[in-house]
Amino acid sequence: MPPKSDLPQGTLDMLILQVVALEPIHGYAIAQRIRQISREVVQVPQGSLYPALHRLENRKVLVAEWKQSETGRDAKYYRLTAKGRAYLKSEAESWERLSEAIRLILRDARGTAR
Amino acid sequence: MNWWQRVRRRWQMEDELDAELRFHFDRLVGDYMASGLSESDARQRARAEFGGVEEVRDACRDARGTRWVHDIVQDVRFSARLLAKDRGFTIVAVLALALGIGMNNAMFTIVNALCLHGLPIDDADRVVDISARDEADRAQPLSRREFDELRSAHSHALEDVAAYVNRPATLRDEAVAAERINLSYVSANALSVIRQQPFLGRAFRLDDDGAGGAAVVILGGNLWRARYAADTGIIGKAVIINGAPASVVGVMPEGFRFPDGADAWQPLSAIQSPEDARMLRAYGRLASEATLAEAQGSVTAILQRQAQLPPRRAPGGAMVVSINDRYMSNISDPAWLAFITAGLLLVVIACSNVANLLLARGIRRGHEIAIRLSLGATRRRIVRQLLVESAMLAVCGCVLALGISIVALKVFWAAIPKGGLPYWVTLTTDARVILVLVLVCIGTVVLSGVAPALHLARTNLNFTMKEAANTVSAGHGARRWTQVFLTLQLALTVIMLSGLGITVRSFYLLQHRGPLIDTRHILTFGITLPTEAYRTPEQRLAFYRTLQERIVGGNHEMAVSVASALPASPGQPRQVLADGQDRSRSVPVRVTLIDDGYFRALGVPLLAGRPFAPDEGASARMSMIVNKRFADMFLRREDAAGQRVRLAAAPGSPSQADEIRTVVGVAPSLRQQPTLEPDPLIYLPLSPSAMSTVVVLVRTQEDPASLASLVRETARHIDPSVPLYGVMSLEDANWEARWNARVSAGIISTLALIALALATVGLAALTAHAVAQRSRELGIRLALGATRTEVVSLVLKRVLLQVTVGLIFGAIGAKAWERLFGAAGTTSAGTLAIVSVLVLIVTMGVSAWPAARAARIDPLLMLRDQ
Repeated sequence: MPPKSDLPQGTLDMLILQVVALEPIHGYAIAQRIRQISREVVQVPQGSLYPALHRLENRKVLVAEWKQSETGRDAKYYRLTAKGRAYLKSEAESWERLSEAIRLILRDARGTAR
Repeated sequence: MNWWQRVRRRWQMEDELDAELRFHFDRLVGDYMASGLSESDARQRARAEFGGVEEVRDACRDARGTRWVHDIVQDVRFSARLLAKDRGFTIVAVLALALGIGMNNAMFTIVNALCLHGLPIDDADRVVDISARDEADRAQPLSRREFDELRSAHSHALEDVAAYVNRPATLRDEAVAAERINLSYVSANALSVIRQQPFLGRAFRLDDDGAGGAAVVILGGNLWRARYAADTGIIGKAVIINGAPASVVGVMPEGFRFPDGADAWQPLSAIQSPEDARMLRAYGRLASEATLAEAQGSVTAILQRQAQLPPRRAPGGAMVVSINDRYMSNISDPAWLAFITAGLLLVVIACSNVANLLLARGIRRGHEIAIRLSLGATRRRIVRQLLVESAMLAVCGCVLALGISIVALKVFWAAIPKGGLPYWVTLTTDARVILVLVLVCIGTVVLSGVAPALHLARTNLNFTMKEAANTVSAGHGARRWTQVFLTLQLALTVIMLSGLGITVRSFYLLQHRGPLIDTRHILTFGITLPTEAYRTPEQRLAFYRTLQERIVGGNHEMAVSVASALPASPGQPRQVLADGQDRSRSVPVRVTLIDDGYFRALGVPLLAGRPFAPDEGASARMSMIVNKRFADMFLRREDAAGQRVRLAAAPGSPSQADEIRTVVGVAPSLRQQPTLEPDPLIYLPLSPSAMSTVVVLVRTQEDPASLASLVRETARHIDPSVPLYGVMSLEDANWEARWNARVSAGIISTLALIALALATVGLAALTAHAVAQRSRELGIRLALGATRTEVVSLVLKRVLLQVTVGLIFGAIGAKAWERLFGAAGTTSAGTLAIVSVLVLIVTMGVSAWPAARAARIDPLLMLRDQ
């Protein structure tokens, strides 16, 4: 198993939105999906997943409805709103800019160190 | 679900949260079991991974954004329980706030009605009052000529101009006895300029207001209801006004009595007046987009064009002001500002009282707050809960205050004689009053709640928890705050009381200085003669003479006098040209017209000279009698009789020339108004003009009331069309005339006594509290041999210090008050001294009781208790 990483501050919202953007999905599946996609690197702390979901719902980035899940039990499914889509786009762009910048800095720093 | 739904469906939200978390947990367990774990192992693993369910749940509630609402609901419930438990404290605090806020609200309602509310006219802001201006920049009525000029000039700044003149009149018809009414003679457009319509019938037409038009009248709604039993068939019927028939063309809605409490209106043409007599008041409506300044400029230009023509002039041009400014009192007048400030000060006193009570109570609660802090409550939450408590007190106070305010306004209204206030004054609770009430209520929370809340939330956890709950001593902070509030309270009370002192003093002066008239043995009443039947002064004088003779009827102990006004009413204004012919330096005085028997009827001998002769004024010699005050102000020191005085022409008189009159007598200064100094007053002979509305004074040895029916009967016998009104003793007439001073004094004393009561209760509660606080210390002192007297004086010494500091600030404040509100010199050292002694006695008196309790502390019991 590869080593697990803590999520950088503020990225959990973005990951959640990215996963929800694919299709309406419930909380448990969001956690599973993030873990699977990141090849087990990103472990969503279960304790902060739900407060984050509710916060996003409160900000009208997500909407929720109760639907039957694959096991037959009712679950709360989250879906992206138009506002959420715009928000996700801007967040993702700014994150990409940031990570590119960090990558550059790290490469340069390594170069000079060598 | 929006925010509001989330607030309301709190339990549904909780259920959904539970279901969502359980789903997650169950799926986790299911997955672990699928990977081969036993159920109990799977559960354990899932629980470890998921973390504390309660914490997650709490974080989710925070994320919902509705939490503070529920917290506040919780705070409210908690505060309500605490307040209900501490009933004594709650009652005192709510009562204090309610008294402060309630009296303030009542006072603001009065200020609003008199200064802010505006006349009950549509679009009153666009209606302006127009007058001419004399040399000394005083407003003057317009002459008929000026008004006609103004109207025909079609000022671009004014849509239309109307004029009126008010006169008392008699109203008679077949059915009911003659009655005196307030008649307004108005130009035909008077109603359309202020956009008012009769409620029955029609308004005046242009042809009503012209020579040869049939006599018409519009009745006021109040008169119509009272006299004609709201008969809708009145239109077209004839009534007799001033002895001449006029047909009723319209009835105005009830409550409409523009311009000055009119009962009925007739066209301006119904009153004969010389072209150049200044007797018309004018008002107009601003043209759309015209400003007051433009109207001022335009009317000035028109009037000055007119002024070129002799003989009447308007040398100062025009004076155009908003009609609301003309009628309503000016709120920036120092007297009104003082009135408003007094109300607010009372609120501040109540607030500092409650703040002190909260602080004292908070010290007892130190332990409870420390426990809540140690259990994890944030200081913010504690402050919030304490503020919620203050807010609840304020809200309860406000509700009770509304009741107090209603009662206070009822008492105020009942104290004012009918017709004492202008017709448009209604004590309504409009949006402005409500807004001020809400603002005051919020201010109350801030003033009374913030300092105690912040102070208490600073409770030192370790310190407080270590001490036993009942020995927590007030920290320096609390004592400092208490000191500040107490000083404030006492100082404000001193200011209020010295205000009361001034009023009491001037009242005393009014009652006990100057000559005393035996008002209980003088009957007074008013008469208005119908002008059609009594056209000339001779006819009117003949009626008055006959009435006088018949009332006296040979009884030599009686004396009857006819005058223009009662001794307690202000009389007509007139200008004295004290400085030769320089008009801009004329001094206003008051005039009363009297007959020969006036001073005899009042029972007041003249100080010098002689009274008027029965035919005074018939001769060419112009004479006058002045009061002592006038003589002191305007006459040379030597013998007053024979000196000459130049008077400007009477307003409204056709003659423009100054009058030079010779003083024939000096009367004592009968106080006309409740002022410290009596007004300068001149008496002129009644006979030359013998106006149609006069007052009659009848001196009798009997009870005046028993004379009333005789007087009525006598008058009816002479002429049944002459109404008598206001038949009462001079004592009652004075009582009515002085309602203003009486009501002001009533308000001031109520405020001052409430302030004193609040300060006293506050001080007593604090002393009692201080004694409870120091009981252990006092117990030790007693155990170590202090005598009980020493303990009592120990307690009282601190009270004395506090009161003294308050008194010093109060004296400074009273002086500042005097300077602010232009009553300089009225707060004498004597008043302040009396007030200070009063406050000292009362406060020390109420503190004696808790001090005595301190002396009864049983040292053994106290010490064993620890």
